[in-house]
Amino acid sequence: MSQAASKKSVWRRGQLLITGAVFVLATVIGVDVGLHGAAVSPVASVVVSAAAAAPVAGDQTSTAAGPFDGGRGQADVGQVGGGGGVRGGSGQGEPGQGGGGGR
Amino acid sequence: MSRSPGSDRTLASFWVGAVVAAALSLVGAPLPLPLDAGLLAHVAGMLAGYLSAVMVVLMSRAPLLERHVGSDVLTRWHSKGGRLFLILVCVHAGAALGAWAQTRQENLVTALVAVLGLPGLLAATLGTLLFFAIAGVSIRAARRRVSHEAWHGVHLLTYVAISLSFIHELAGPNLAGHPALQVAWTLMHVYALALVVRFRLLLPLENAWRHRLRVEAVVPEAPGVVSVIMSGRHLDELGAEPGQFFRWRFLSSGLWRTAHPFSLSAPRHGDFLRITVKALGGGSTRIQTLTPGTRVFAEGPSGAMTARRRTRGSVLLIAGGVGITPMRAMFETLEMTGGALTLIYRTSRPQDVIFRSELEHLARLRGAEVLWLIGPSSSPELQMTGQNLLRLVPDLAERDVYLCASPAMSAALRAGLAEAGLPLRHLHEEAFTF
Repeated sequence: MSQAASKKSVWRRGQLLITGAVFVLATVIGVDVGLHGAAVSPVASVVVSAAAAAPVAGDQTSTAAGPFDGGRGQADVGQVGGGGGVRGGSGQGEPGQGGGGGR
Repeated sequence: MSRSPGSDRTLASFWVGAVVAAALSLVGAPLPLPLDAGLLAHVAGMLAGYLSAVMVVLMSRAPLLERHVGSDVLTRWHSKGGRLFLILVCVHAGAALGAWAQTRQENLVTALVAVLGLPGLLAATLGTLLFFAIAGVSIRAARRRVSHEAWHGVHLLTYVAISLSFIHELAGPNLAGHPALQVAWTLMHVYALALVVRFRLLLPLENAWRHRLRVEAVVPEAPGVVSVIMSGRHLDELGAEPGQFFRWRFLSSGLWRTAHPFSLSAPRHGDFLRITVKALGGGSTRIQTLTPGTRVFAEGPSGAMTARRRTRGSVLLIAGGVGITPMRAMFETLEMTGGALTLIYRTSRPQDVIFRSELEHLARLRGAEVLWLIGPSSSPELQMTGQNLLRLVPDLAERDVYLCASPAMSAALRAGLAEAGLPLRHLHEEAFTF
């Protein structure tokens, strides 16, 4: 392989490496935010606001938004949760848990 | 107009995604499924969230999409999808509000105040208002009055609008409490954004580092038209094909903020690239006064209107005005083994013709033909009817036809070519209003 071709090959591999790194980082952020919600996600907090101490999962009061369909989104502790509404009636959610409930 | 198999496959995969998103809106729904405003709100909301990610992917400049679908097709999908997105958001908001008011026996104003008080809803509403503002400057009538730079600046707010809406999506009752779904939904959005970061931010920076493009010379071609010749290193690695374009960002005052799309007006020659630009707006006017040595960032190559689309031996190239630029590059490079090559070049005035001597030289060199159609469009013999086109190129129905012209001329030509018997799958064009 000529020197030019070799350099080109190194450059291409470098580009692939950058693509891989971008998507690995995206996966880490996506899984973290998906599991914790952007408001309490440690990685998102660091990436977005460089916050020194991210809120601990479970401290968050429910961010439930289920205005028209209660009884659906039951959230685990620390996750964003569903709320009460049309079908299930207006549910009450524990802090850190999703709302929910039913008539 | 020809459509690549890649565009059909891509469109099919987007539809499959839409079906999955709609199915997710049924997760946890009581059985039998109530066909009410609540269900409509769920389905419309999930589809809107999905579509917002698709819109970002379409504009991510991912090479696979640019090469196999084509920038103009992606832009058209983006434009249509944007309208559909706004409709879905309106349906979602209206149905959700109606369902809330109905079940709680409240009037709509009270219901609206209550709904906006829910976590994430105020941000989502602000996001929706931003989406409408972006759509406002994107509609045709407004875009005529807004500069490309201003339009681009407002369009960047899309990312803010999507971020504002995202929490509401994640917290909504379809995903909340389903960690796997929440992760999958978040990954969809994050991967879409990753494509933008990779191909619209990092790749141009890498290319700038690798290729060190600089303006070498600015050459007047006609009144208000210049060619910009750029030099750089390792330009063969760009893989640019005649017919393709780059989005050029010139690092000079008034130009560095926005990348402008221009086709190569000649194939790469060694360490040199050339584009040719007509002063049509603020950016393209400033390009006329670029000075040698100006650094250039190039995003691309983009565009699928290349020799790869060709399936026949003989080719007809049709250019209108400054649309000659990609045709000029193809006229020099298209393979002519046993086939004929003809270029129709249409301008309103003789002084608008560019590359006359180059085209004549290439025609002589390659045994090709250039047909000059110069004059006002009111002249009957210059109109793009099937009869006139057949008079100029009797075997055009047997050729591949490549077209680059203004939207009005392209529309007339599509009708004329169809009338002349050309199967439109053999018509290859890429059209941009910006």
